[in-house]
Amino acid sequence: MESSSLFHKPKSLLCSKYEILIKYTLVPSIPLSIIAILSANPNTWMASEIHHFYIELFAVILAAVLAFYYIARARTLNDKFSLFIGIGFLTSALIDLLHVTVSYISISDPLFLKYFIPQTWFAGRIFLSAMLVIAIAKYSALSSSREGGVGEKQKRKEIEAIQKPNKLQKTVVVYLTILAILATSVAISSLFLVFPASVIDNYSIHRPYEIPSLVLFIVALFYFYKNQLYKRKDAFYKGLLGYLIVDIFSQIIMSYSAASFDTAHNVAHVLKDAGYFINIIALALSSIEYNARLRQSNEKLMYSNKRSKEREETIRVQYERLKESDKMKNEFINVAAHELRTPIQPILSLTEVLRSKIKEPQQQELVDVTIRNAKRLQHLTEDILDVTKIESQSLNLKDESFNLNDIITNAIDDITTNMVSKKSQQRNVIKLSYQPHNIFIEADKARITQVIFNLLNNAVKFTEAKVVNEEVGEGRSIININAENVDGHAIVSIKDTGTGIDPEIMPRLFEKFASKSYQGTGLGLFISKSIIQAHGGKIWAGNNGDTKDGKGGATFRFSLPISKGNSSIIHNKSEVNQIVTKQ
Amino acid sequence: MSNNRNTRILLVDDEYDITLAFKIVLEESGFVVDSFNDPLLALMNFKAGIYGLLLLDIKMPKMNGFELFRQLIKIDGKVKVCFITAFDVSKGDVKTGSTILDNNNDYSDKHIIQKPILIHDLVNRVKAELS
Repeated sequence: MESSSLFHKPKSLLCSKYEILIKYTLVPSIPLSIIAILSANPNTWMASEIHHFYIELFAVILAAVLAFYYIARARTLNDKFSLFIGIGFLTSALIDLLHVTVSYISISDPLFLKYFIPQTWFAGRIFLSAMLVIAIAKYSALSSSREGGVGEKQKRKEIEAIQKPNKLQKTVVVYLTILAILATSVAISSLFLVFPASVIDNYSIHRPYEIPSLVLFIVALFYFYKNQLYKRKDAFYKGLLGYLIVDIFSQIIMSYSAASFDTAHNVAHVLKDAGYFINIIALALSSIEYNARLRQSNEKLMYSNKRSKEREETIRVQYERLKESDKMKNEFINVAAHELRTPIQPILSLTEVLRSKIKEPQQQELVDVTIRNAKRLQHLTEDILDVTKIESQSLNLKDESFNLNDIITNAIDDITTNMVSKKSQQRNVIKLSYQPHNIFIEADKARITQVIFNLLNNAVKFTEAKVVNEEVGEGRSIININAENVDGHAIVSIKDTGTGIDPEIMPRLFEKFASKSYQGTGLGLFISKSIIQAHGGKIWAGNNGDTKDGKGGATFRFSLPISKGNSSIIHNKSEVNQIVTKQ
Repeated sequence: MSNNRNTRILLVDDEYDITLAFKIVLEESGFVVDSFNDPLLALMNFKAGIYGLLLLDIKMPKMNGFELFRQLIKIDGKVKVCFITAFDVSKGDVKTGSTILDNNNDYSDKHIIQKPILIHDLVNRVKAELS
């Protein structure tokens, strides 16, 4: 009956508490109760010592098998739960062996057996039931990590148990020792002692000593439910549950056994064997289930392995493709650069030649427009190519050590020359003020030059714009350029007295096409920011003065890390002022 | 200007418009310029001891500027050279600029003129190469 109820389908594993209670405890209790009632008549099944010997021998073998299994399981899985049950079965098997051997040898001494058999039975049962209580009440949580469906309470317990394993272990060792001594002394002393009231002839409970182990089995059952072991998926736990109810009845029936080998005595013995048998069946089922799950998870694992290999392959192929497309993109940028620059050359050169040959001012102006726009096209081409490189992450830097001072001075010279040759209608003076500082840095010289040139050019253009739009007093149009070494960083600042930065543009100032100078491309600040960032530096800007309206002009700054061990600053006291007077 | 007069320049670029523009600009500055749009033709007509400077485009069909220079230098071992290219050379992108440039690292970018170049700068560069 019990064993048949163990054949359940995996899908019904997560049954409710009550379903389990009915299926594994209440339903088995019905036939067991009937058996218990039938066993009340001591004469229904009278057996002999020899029957008892065989039944007990059977129990010894089953208990030994269980002990072997549980202890092996405990060792392999490092599971104390199994260990205690294993020790319980082992001791039970040993005491039963003594019980059966002595009772076989002493078949001719019924008076000795009358006491010896109940006492040794008691010893084995009390020890086994105690072990079950310890295992279920204390250690079921510890083994829960391998099993599914663990309640919150148990998780807490588990954590607590992990936190104080030593304390727990000590307590349990003490219990174990006491119990072992008790059981052994009961078993050994049974050979020559008759315990007080071990068999009471004139009372319906003839064997009161069965009561403590009965209580312990019930406690074990209680803890089984309390610790929610019924939630475990393993058939092993269902077997334990079935076994407990059978053992409880075995104890009840044994308690009213009036004499050795009467109905109750025999039935209790048979039930004990049946309990062990249920346990073994459950272990077998658990093993089968385990293997089935293993195969299932193996299949899943193989499938996921296959999938991950496929993914790996896909990623590899995609990477190759990406690399290929990256190469093609770079190749395209290079060819595009070449093809865009080539036609600009004859336009620029020939219009310049043409310009020098034309004497008529009106025609000169037309050619000037052509030259200006050819140059603009040239700048736009360079800027767009730079942006393309930045955005395709193919901006390569060629690091070399150089003096930042040199490129600043060169840029100032170039811009000054340009301003002189431009012959604009501007009547005012733009002064570029710079106090030379030798700062040696390791960076891409051409790129840093590009940034400085770009920022200076902007400063000049926006200052010019202010000069053209407003009446600016003499000597007020100054662009201050400064370079200094601050904590291992070269900081270059360009402070103009131009129109300032529109507060609305400020947050996206360094984005593409956010702001544009006259004849500019709108890409300069974006490129400058990208170059500085590629060097591990920072670029920022702000309007001068307290007000943010930009009436005091703007200041652009960038920082660059100075190469280690190579930095030196030489202060040059003579201030170099570049004064440009136009018309 | 007068000291440019004796200097003969060989200009080779597959683009006719480029050779035309450069020829005019350089001749305005007093140089004598022989221009070719076909590197093989330039090689066939090359004679030792005539030219003060070779201005060679790098990317050309049939034969690139570096290969042409290797052939020309066999004929005239003393001739100076300056390459012209529209590929990136000055901004540290030589590695990705072109495979032709990458394979000819020994010609440092000191002797490479990047197109487009302003006429003023071109003349200055040529003068610098000759001095």
